[in-house]
Amino acid sequence: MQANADLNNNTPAPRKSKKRKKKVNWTLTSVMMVLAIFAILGPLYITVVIALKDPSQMTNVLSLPKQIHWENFKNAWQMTNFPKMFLNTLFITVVNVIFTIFTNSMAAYVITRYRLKNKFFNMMYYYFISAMFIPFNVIMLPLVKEVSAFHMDNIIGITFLYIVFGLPQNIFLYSGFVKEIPTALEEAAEMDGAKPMQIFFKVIFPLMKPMHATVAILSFMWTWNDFLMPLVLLSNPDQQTLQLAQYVFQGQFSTQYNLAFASYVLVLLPVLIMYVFFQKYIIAGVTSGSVK
Amino acid sequence: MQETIKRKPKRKGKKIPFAYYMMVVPIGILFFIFHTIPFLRGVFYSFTDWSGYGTWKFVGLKNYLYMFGNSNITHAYWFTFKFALFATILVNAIALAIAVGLNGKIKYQNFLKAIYFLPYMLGSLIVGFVFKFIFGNLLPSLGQTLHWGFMSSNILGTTHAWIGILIMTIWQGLAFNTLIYLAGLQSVDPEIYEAAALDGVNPWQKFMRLTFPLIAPFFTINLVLSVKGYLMVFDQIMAMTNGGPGNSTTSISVEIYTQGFQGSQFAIQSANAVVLFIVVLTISLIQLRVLNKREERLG
Amino acid sequence: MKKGTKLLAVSASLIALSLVTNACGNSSSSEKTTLQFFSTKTENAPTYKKMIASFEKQNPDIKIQLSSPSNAGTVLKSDLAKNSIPDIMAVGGDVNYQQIQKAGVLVDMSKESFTKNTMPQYQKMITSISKGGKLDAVPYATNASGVVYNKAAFKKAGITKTPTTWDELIADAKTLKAKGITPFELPFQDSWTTMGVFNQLSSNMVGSSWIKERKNNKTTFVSTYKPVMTKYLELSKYAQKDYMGTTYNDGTKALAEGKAAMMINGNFVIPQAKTSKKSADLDMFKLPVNNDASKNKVTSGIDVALAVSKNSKNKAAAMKFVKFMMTEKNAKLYNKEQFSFSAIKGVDQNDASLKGISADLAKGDVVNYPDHYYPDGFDMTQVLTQTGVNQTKGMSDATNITKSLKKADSAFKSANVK
Repeated sequence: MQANADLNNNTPAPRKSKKRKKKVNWTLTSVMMVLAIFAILGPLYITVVIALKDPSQMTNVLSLPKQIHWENFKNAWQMTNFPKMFLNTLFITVVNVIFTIFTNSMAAYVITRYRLKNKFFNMMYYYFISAMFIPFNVIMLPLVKEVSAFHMDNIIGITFLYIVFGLPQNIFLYSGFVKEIPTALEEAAEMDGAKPMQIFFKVIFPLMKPMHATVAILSFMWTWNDFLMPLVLLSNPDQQTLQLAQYVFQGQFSTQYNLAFASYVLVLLPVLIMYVFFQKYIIAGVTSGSVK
Repeated sequence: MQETIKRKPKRKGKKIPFAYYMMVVPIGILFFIFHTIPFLRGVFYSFTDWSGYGTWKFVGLKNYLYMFGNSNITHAYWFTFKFALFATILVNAIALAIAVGLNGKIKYQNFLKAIYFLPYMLGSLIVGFVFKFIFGNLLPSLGQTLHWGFMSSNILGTTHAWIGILIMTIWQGLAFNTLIYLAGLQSVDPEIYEAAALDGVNPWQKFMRLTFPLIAPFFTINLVLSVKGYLMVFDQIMAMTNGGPGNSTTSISVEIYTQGFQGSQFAIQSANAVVLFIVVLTISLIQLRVLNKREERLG
Repeated sequence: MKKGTKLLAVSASLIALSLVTNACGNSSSSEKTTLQFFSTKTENAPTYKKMIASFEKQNPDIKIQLSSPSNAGTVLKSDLAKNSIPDIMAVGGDVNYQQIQKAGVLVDMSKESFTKNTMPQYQKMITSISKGGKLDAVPYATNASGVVYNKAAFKKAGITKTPTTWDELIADAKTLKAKGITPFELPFQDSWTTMGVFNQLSSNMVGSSWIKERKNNKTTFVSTYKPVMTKYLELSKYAQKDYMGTTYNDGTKALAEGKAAMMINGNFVIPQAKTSKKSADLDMFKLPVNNDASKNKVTSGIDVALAVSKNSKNKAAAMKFVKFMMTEKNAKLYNKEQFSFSAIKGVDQNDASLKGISADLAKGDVVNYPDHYYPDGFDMTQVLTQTGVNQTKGMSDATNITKSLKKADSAFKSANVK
């Protein structure tokens, strides 16, 4: 109770004094460091080390490779048809991100702005939000039937589905953001005789940039790492994604663990590189996507 | 009466231009065709004996009754609930601990945060393959050299296979939950703690009385997302055990996938999907209600 | 602001790149006829790849894409549900074939010229499980179950003659165990390998008419299969430690290296084992299930049958490839690399690694796999892996057998729907 009272007294106070001198807690730092190195980086270290060895060096799995076998990557690259799978996956993710940002933000904007004034848009809002409770696994069986009827069991079809299926979550994300944008700007533009599309793309769309980043990151992560949807929807071996290809080729690696792990590294590498460069944005994007 | 007065100013606005409808309706129709129709069709199939092709007839609730009598399906529910429960509790407890640690007065905070978030970036299928190797080859050989009985066999080939999947899931799930808790902790004004310190509150009390109520909304987010995600568990099982040994690690999603495309089970697994939907919906709604109420009370 | 434009430029060029390359890929392949070739086995992919390469050389306008996923049965079923099955399929003469055949999506092979060169007894194995008794897939390769053993390991343990009775087999297992060599390597982490043991016991101990009676609920697993399960569990007592946690790949490696002496499965173990050690000296003998040696038979069935989709846009090209695979040259190549037996007349298997059983196959003195007659949704491997887990947990054999067989009956009942 006491604490609560303090809390109430303190919150309005200016936060300037926040920059106190930090006394570094070295024990905690080392605990967190050791944990990070062994628990988090450990499995990744194992993955990379195995990918660089040949079978004769596997007696001590954990040791560093004596000779580095780059040819594992070359073999895995050819065996899993990596370039094709990579381009397929890249196509899905990039096209999905771009179209998602344009179409979903547009729908979210209109729905959020007009749902209090108009029953139809309000209905649409609740329609999309309630669809969030229907996981993909639930519609998987009938969807497979439908997709084949429309001949969409290919890369372009699945990309289209990703754009559509992202709607509920993205409307939820964008709508929280749109609410905060003052209507004065649009009203001014309307006065100047701007058309709805112009208002949206010239005025609102640029303002939504922080949320675009979040949506882009979440969409990217979803499509890049998704396994179930490609598994049930894509059948042609030429139309597979990196994740699906890993599953398909698993049997063919047989005991050639070095080759298998080289292949894992190839799939993980693009996201890891991206993470190194955009780590700050990714973390910020994911955070703001979940914590509005 | 009052309501109409209140609403009036809103209604006075001109008719909403047609263009605005065009910005929502097309994609809404597509969503209806590719998401809602499959859902409704799934519900429809669950009352028929359709095998995915050929003729069909209505069978009423037969598929649902069959589900409850089929030991494989009931076991899939039992396994999934058990898994989701343990995964949610452990992931959230450990993630909260890591977040508290990261929020402490430590050096290299940003670097460490980036490391702990790293697993979020990696696909569960590949992480599953890596852990399959760790459990199947690395740990047993390590356990044999060290003569540690419990580690000398592949956990994925025992009745404890689900623990292997759980460990991998925790490893990966921590990333996201830690990040959210950390965001919550960082939103707490340090001055609150300073004030509390003056009152002579010990760290545990400080955490329970001060920190926890303040991060309660973040706790809700994590809990809802975790439970929902873990009820859908699929990728790591396909990578690590394929549902075995026996059917001990067959989750509901794995059951729907592996059995659903078999003619004789198409309608039954459609019923299974409908039940899964009801389960997810119910659990999410209960969670939101309970947790929101508690938040209100704490606030 | 600048960062934003940069990001936009990068992503725009990325999309352009992926669009262009995708388009290129499509346009170049549109001149060619592309065929999808689906295989339910992963281990013969290298051999298929060789055949594909030489076929594509002869037919530069045809491109063949091989796909051999793990868990192929489920993938094939989902393709069937999508109504988009591959142009050419190489499936076993088992439930996978039965399912696609039943859906009526396969081309009738009985009139094709290459079919006439196949042995009639193998054609019968296909027609006997087909709806309407049709031949909708042409038998290509057959397998033989038995015990694959490492000759060097036997020599090391002083065993000079392969066992011909059950008692001899168990005696040899004891000898091997005493010498520190694993008698039986059972890789049950991959659940399908349990059937390698179970099928051979079952086909030699339970009459082939049993399954019909079971389907009509005239008999049960519980009442018939106790002796089978007793022997099944006895074998697993001589298995390596952690046999439920060993994968097929790791198991075949242990066999090749001589850490283990025997693996009870099929001829296809040999090429797999040789991938980890080329020089491994392996041979096969039939599993001596009974103590009366004359009663023991090799279990053999269709390992690969080739089928063509009725809905294929390029049926002629697909047939051309099947015909190509069926030529003597390629059948011999397959036999040589996969250590299998051809269904094509005059293509014999003379490899030393199969000496122990090739005579029985040539005579046709074989029994088919019991599980080829199981209903679609019945998964015996689920029962058997549970049995294995029960045993490693220390459950008594009697309880384990009763429990397992009860589970088998209830699983059978729920799958046996018309």
